[in-house]
Amino acid sequence: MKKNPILELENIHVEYFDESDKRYFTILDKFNLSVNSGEFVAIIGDSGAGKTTLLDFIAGFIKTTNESKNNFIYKIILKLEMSYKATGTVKISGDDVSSVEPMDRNVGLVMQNFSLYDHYNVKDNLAFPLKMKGINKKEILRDVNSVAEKLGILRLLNNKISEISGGERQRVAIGKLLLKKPKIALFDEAFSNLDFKLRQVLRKNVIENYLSNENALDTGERAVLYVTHDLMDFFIADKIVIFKKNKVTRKSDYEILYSDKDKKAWQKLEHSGLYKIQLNEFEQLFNNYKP
Amino acid sequence: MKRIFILIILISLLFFSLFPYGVLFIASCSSIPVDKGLHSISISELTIINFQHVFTNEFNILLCNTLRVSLTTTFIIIIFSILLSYSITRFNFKYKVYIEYILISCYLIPPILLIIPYSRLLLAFNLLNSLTGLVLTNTAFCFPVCAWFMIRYFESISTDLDKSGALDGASTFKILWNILIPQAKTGIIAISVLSFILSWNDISFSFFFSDNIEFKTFADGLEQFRISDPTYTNMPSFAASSFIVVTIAILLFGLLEYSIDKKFNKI
Repeated sequence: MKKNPILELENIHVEYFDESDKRYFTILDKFNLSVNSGEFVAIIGDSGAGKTTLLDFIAGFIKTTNESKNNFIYKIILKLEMSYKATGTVKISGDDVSSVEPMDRNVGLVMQNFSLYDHYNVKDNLAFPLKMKGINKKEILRDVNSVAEKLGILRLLNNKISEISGGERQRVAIGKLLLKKPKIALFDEAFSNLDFKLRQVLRKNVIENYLSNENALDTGERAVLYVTHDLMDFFIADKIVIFKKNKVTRKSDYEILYSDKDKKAWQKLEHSGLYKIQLNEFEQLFNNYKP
Repeated sequence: MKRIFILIILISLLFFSLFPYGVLFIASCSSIPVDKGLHSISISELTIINFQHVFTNEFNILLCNTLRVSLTTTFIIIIFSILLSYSITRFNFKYKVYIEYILISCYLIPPILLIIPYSRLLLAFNLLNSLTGLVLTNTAFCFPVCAWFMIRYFESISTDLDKSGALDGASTFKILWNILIPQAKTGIIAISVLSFILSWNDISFSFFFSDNIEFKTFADGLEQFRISDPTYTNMPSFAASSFIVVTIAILLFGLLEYSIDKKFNKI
């Protein structure tokens, strides 16, 4: 049975304005991707190849700058705000959200470090998305406690963010995601500065509590896009997007691998030059990998 | 040994900073004119009667005017500095770097050079001899440097927080109010103290733009008292009023810092 895609990216094209060269440089060109519900997509690539740009486009921080819009004020804003040009379509569950604000896109984002609010305690951080939705205090408290218990951070609820460790902070960030229940969860190198064991635990937390319908807080459609450099993520990924930056033109070429845990995908990873690792080493790693 | 050394330095600095305040206190408690020298004051002659004499009608007017001008100026500067810093650091637009240059170069102009253009403007809008005129001139003078400080603070706050807030469902105003302002509260405290000190201690704008005691601020008013008392017979009362004003300023700093700090620690 053919699954309906939860996220469709069509002809994404992004150019950035370079202040020193006084011209635009293409970062992403004709990028297309379709993600089905329940899929885990790993994104890898050189630094500056457009991984974060892609996430920003999906989240709505980069909006399409369609110059055919016949609006005088819009044209003035476009003239003044010279930082980028972007075209393309983002569809979430079939709806075109290209011109929708980030807050209304049903997308969650977990970043490497500072996506938590230092001035609030853990409880207020977890409650923030619910409070913005206008949910009443009783319900917020109930949901926050339930998610905190799931993630093992119940005892930290009254602690300030500065008083908890890196791993605990990431758990709080995942907690926010679970409470917000977005359709698309974006991870921008979220666990890259944590140790191997902790990464395993957090990855398991994401898959068990967010992605899998059996254990998740509700049974809605959802998918994960995960910018990573960790090879272990590829073994669980359903799709792998590889970005390769052309150092002269600065444009990124991309390739999408449909990883069904076979050698073909690893072979392409080996040839991508992003990892100094041989095919047999991939195999060895995969055989030793226990999720 | 190192700790003792640091302690000695700290105590010396504290003594150095508090010495004028202490002298002011002793002078305000003396029952004889201070120009005879502090050594002439004995402990038995100290009195608090000068503090009772201070609260005359004129003193109350000056104190009230100074409070109104300083607090209103501080409030306006905080609001506009935050809004300007937010737009400069969060939006990309042409020539924004020049706005910063203009801000800092505005502050480099000595206030005395601004007296003539300001007085022409105030005259044109019929704002001479009014507290509104003093608030506007103080705001125009303090705003560039406060805004410049605030821009630096906002630049240091990661834009990841804006992204996180937007995806958590917060509107632009809620991101600013619930996330960015609490993060920048140290900067807000700094600019509020700076603008408060500058407008509290202002003497020139009050001197040039108000010739009526009803619209003068404390620093200028006291100067008028001093000029009108060439024999220094009222010097203890003068010292007592200065002591009260300094103490109020110190208490207001504390209150300002405490309230800003408390305000932004809860959702």
